[in-house]
Amino acid sequence: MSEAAIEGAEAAAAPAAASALRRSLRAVGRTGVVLAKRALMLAVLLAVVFAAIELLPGDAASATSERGESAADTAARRRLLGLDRPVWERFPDWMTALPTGDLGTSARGEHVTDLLAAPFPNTLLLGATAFAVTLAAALALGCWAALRPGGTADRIVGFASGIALALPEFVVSIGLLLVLSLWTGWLPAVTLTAPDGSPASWTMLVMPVLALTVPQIGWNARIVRGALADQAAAPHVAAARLDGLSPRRVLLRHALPGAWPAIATGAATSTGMLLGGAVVVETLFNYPGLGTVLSGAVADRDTPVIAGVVACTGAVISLVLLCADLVRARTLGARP
Amino acid sequence: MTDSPTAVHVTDLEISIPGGPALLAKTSLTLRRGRITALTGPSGSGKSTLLRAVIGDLPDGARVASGTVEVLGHDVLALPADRLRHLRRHRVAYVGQDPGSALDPRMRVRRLVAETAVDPSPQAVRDLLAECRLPVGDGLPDRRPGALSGGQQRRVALARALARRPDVLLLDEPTAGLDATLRDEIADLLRHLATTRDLAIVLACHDPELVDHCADDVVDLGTAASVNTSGAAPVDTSGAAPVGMSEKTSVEVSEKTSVGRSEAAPASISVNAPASASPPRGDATVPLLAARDLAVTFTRHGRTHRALDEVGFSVAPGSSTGIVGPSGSGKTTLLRVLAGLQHPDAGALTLDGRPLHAGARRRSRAQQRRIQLIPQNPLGALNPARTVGATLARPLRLHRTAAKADVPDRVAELLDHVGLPADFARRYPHELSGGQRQRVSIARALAPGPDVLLCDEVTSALDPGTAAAVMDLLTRLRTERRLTLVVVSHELRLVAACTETVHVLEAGRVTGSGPSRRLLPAGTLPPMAQ
Repeated sequence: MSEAAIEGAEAAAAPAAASALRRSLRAVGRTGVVLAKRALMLAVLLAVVFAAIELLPGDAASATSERGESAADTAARRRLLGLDRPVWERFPDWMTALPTGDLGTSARGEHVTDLLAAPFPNTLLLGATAFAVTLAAALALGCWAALRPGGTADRIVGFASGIALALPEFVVSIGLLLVLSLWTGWLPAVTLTAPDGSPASWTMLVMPVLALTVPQIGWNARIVRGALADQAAAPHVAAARLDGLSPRRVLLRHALPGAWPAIATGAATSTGMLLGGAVVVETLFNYPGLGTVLSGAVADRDTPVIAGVVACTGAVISLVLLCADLVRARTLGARP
Repeated sequence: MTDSPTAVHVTDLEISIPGGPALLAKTSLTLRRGRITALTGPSGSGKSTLLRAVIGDLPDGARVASGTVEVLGHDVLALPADRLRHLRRHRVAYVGQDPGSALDPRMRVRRLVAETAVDPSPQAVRDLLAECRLPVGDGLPDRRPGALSGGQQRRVALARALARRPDVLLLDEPTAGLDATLRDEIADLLRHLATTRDLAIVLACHDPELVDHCADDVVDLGTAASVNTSGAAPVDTSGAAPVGMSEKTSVEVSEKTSVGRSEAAPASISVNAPASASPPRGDATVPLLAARDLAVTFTRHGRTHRALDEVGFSVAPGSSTGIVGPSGSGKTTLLRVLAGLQHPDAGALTLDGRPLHAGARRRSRAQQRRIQLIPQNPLGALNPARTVGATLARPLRLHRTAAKADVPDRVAELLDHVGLPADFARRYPHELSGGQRQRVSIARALAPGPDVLLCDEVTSALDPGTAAAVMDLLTRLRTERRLTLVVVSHELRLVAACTETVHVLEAGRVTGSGPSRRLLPAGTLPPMAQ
């Protein structure tokens, strides 16, 4: 092997490497722009949260005042919490501290970061489990219904999903409590926590997850069924049927890939509803999650805590929406 | 002839929509193994309906009024669903009129072919693609249908049909959109398959040369139907029926009107914009539409495909220019660039000597109006959720070429111009035959009163009579309104007959241009013969 040959190979490899580098740099740049846009969206959302709490009657100092506290004490605490300053000064202060991981101090003097450290993973666990169950059940039901359009399964799924969609989480929760806990005694009615603040066993998750997923399964099953019906009318799906492929293959290989964008978008919007529903469900089952923290914080007009919760859930929702957009871009990009 | 075994036996089949038009007048058909049968007849005579009936598929709402269909010993119209599916999967293959939309847009060519194949190994798939005259060397098996030309899509669909090694092959317009060389190759391939695999092939076809080239038997649905129905009650084609693939009688009538009109005094009707909206006419030395050094490349996964390479192009006002070339040579891409639908990587466009923006959205409303494209695939280009009337009314309103109250009249007038009855305005695209859809597509392009009409294989879905009528219409409009035509077609005779200048594209480059008469001598020999 002569040196000249090695040099030649390197010379040939150099432009290829340079173009690969340029491509990857461009990809990084594009990703950066997308992420910056999402971060900006989150900042706007937090500004709205600050403004909304400002509009509520009362403030944290009066909401958390001890019985028999004098007006002067309350005013002193208001000054201590910085609540005497206008909201347009407090918001930038809070926002500039956010990138360092400092979510501020609650009205009761605790660090918000510590306050959320235990409940946030619990809510993530609840939400992620509910999301996975929702997606799996909605796909299964939607596909089952789409296999025989107009058949018994289709009509049952259509009818049941309509009802499930209309049920609020607390109605489902109460129904589950009655059946699974009070009548049969299979599951405990309230969540017991382990010493580290997480649920004591997985059985504690069953009822909250079910209460969250039932309405969302109804919603998503309808979206899956509708997207598959649209795809079934596409010429290439009709052609696949005329090629004598099995109904299952036509559904999974030809109709479902085209339905992904609609399904992903529907499921991503469910994330918001799952996390919103978690507030109700966690309160009902006494589950140690963000919902419990949030309902307490709203009663206290505790702006940093509420904004901290919104920052966490907002980041999760943005991330899921971003994933849905990626699925969409990938499916549509595969066309040419 | 009579000793070869019968594969398909259709006896006195009549298909109609209850209370509506007949889709197929009483027809009998026998297919034998090792023989090729051609179905001919004007568009709307039920060729596609008959082919679909052979695989047991009827149009929505249609009923079999009488007759039986027996395929390989099975009565397909009475077969249970799973056995019918088995028949379609393994023994009978059908390729529709519009393979571009029938191929799954998300699957790559090799998977599309392997999916139905008896032998799905990569080598077998490549062999089959090569057998269908597809270039397998340049990464075609890894492309998706959207990255193939119309002719390539058609051959991929054929390969997918052959992969299951069927006993009966049903082809709807197998060579529409293919040039003469390819058409003859496909004809030879079908001939070869029929003989070696003992295959019964039936093709619905408008192209008399293909029929001459490879068909053993010819069934003319136009005449067969009239003979067979002579004793029966005449088919009611009042046109008031809500659903119908086509109406034979009305098509024939309209054809007569359009032919008659092309002979009649022209000034009586005007499909174009009001005279005030007509553009300033430059002198003949300034080309109306010109392109310089166009380059278009498509890149997929690092592989670059040059669709256009330094292409120059110009048309004089009122002229007619043809673009010919083999399948995949970039003809459609060139038209799309001129129409502003495809952004070129390099090059410049001018209209009346003034720069024209490459993207249609950046062009002025008047520029948009003046250049209209008639696309290759009329089913894909018509919105399935809109009636024909709504489709035609939209450009009229958008370009304000007609007052609101006049729109219905103008729609009727446009339909009349392309030889369709006025009540077609209430129909949806799926209720029309392939030829009728193409006419609607042409009417839509005419609606805003364009100066330049870009025609992409406008006659490939039409039978010779209809194709001639449509080309007559375009030629007449051209002389009446100084309309400028750019015609992409594989039918060299047609290009020779209706154009003065022709450009030959090969692999994205212009390899020849000049007067049509010189480049396409008598329209018989392809200029790009290998």
